[in-house]
Amino acid sequence: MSEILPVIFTALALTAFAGTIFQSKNRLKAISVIWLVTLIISTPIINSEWNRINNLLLDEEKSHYGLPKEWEDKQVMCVHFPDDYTSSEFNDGRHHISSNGETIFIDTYWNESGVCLGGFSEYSNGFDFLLNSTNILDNKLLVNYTESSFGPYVTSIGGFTPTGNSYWALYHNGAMSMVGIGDLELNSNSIILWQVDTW
Amino acid sequence: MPAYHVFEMSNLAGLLLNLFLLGVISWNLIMIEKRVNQGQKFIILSICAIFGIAGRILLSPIPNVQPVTVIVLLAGIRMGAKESIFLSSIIALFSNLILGHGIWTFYQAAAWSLIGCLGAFFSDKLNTLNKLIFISILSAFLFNWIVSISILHSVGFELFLPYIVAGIPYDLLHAVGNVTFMIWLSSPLSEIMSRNESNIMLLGEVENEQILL
Repeated sequence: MSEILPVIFTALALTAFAGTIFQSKNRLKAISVIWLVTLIISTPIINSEWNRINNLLLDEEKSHYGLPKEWEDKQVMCVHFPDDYTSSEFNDGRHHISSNGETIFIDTYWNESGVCLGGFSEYSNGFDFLLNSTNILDNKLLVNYTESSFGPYVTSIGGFTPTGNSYWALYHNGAMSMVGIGDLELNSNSIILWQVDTW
Repeated sequence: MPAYHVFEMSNLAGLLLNLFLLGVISWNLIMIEKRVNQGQKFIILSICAIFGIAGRILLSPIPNVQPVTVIVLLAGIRMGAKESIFLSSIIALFSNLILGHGIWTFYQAAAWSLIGCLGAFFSDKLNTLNKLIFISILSAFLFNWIVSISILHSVGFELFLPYIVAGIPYDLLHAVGNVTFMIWLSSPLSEIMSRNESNIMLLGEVENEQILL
């Protein structure tokens, strides 16, 4: 939200300037254009912030993990990065991105940085869902995996490769998954979460 | 053969090109109109329709900022309900040939028609620029909410209110766009629309001055 302030100050300065050099009708014309352009520039930020506030207000019981309301009864794929990892693309909170690749809002108050991709309904297998949903972001959320005897094993997501005794853990609807991503059967409203755990 | 038209243009450059094109179209349209038109209604309607269609298509990179709402509102006020309904429908249909035609075309035409009719109904009260600006802000919200009804074809009613609330930043954009277009267009468009012979005979000097404000 703070990135909007320079834009507003510039608009105020231009308004004052236009107010002194133009008269009556021309003054109105100039000022209206200045504020229209200001609003056009700041709309993406305003919209993201509005959606975040809106979501907090609507999501009273927090039952839906702070996800957008329109993703209820849809499939969601979330990735939470560990605290000590600085992601190049998603470092300012949790990004909520719809199935057509549009950012719905960025939750800067979420205590982890990460991404949630949501609004899907057509997947039945966890591995297909993982690869196809992350594919929407091109290479920004690249998934690497190795084939093992238990099925695919995820080694890195979004550039983070856990080392030592940490690993990318898979949660399905809030509970740790008993099966690997390759064997995970999805419901029409499955919420998948990847976070780094230690054993 | 080289591919002459294949090159990447940035969004901003594309928008500036569109604005330039719109400027050329509207400036020349007004210049031509001044020469040929002695108040024939069909010429006035065609000019408004062309300006609305071109404006909506060329400004489509900016969501919700377009001159159509202000054009149909002024047409309702200065010419009448029938004229504004005609303009609303023809602009919605022809601009959607480029922007995409679907069930929403009906809602857009209906919403603009309603705004035009409101203008026609309150035409004698809307005599200052401040009042015109006020009703153009109202029209922005009215238009967006009416067009939003079209989502009920695909989702349930319980999602309607969240959808409306989520769209408020874009309603705001439409409102500020309308205010800007109203400030810029109310004089030239009112002048063109009021040039009808019957209008000139009916309106005295003083009242005419008020309209041109």
